[in-house]
Amino acid sequence: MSSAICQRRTPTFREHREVLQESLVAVAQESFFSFAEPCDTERFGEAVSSAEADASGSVLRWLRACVEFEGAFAGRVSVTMPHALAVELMMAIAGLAPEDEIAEGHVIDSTGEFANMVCGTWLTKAAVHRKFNLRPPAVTSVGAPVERAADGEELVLINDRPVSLRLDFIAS
Amino acid sequence: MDPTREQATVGASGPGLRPLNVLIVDDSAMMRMMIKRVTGLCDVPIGRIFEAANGAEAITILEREHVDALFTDINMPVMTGTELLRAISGNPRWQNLLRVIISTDGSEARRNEVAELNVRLYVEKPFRPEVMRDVLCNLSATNAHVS
Repeated sequence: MSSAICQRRTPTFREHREVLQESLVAVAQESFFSFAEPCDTERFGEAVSSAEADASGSVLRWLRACVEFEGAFAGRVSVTMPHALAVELMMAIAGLAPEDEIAEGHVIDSTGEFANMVCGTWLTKAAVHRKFNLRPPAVTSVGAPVERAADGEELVLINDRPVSLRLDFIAS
Repeated sequence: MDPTREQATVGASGPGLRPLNVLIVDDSAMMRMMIKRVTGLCDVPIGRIFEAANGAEAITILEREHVDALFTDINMPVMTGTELLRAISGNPRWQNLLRVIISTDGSEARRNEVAELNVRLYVEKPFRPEVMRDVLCNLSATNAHVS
């Protein structure tokens, strides 16, 4: 489907998820200078295994950034990614070199901004005539996401690392 | 955070163009860093770069420093970008301040809301670095005319 949802009818949840996924790919590529592509559950599982192997026996850390929005409709966009990818994205947007010092606060800030941009980009495409307010992103450490797409969840690879994207609408 | 922070002069020194003093307003420190980095890559003379994490901090800086161009996000805690633009709107002290929105919110509704607040350019995130270069070239040329 096209990147802009037809405004003549109410978009389906499936269409919203697709545009949200397109938005994540655009944000990853344009502002975080990374390669992103949608993936199926099998590739996602392989990427999770690979990320666990990279963790060299220690527990793989995941970060989840949630952005709540309200306006014509309300809800929450959540992006979950391995901590190592969050570091990679932060270095990309800040233009840091491998030898530069990494501040955890910057990793959290960058991950939150990533989710904020995904949410804002999606809302602009999904409801261009409507105004929304976005709350500041909340970033937390979480366990590994389920290795298959749950309802409202999209799976993406960024630089071959697993990222899950979730959309929840909240009844107002 | 310290609203007085600023970065040293960056960018090229083009002949005949007065360096732009820039204020970047965004609650994300990384986004401010990214905008600063891209600004420094552009072949436009840049003077001082100030940073603020919200509209209230931005006003503190605007009252104290000479700023030519304001880059502001919209959704921020404490004071939003729209509230900031409203607060400085109509004040002759800032009548020549070049105002640019840099936001993920590119909706027509939001653009219409800020249309009467003297906003010169509206940049949607995510943006490519060349977009910022074009914005700075535009502002630099305008700044030369109003100086």
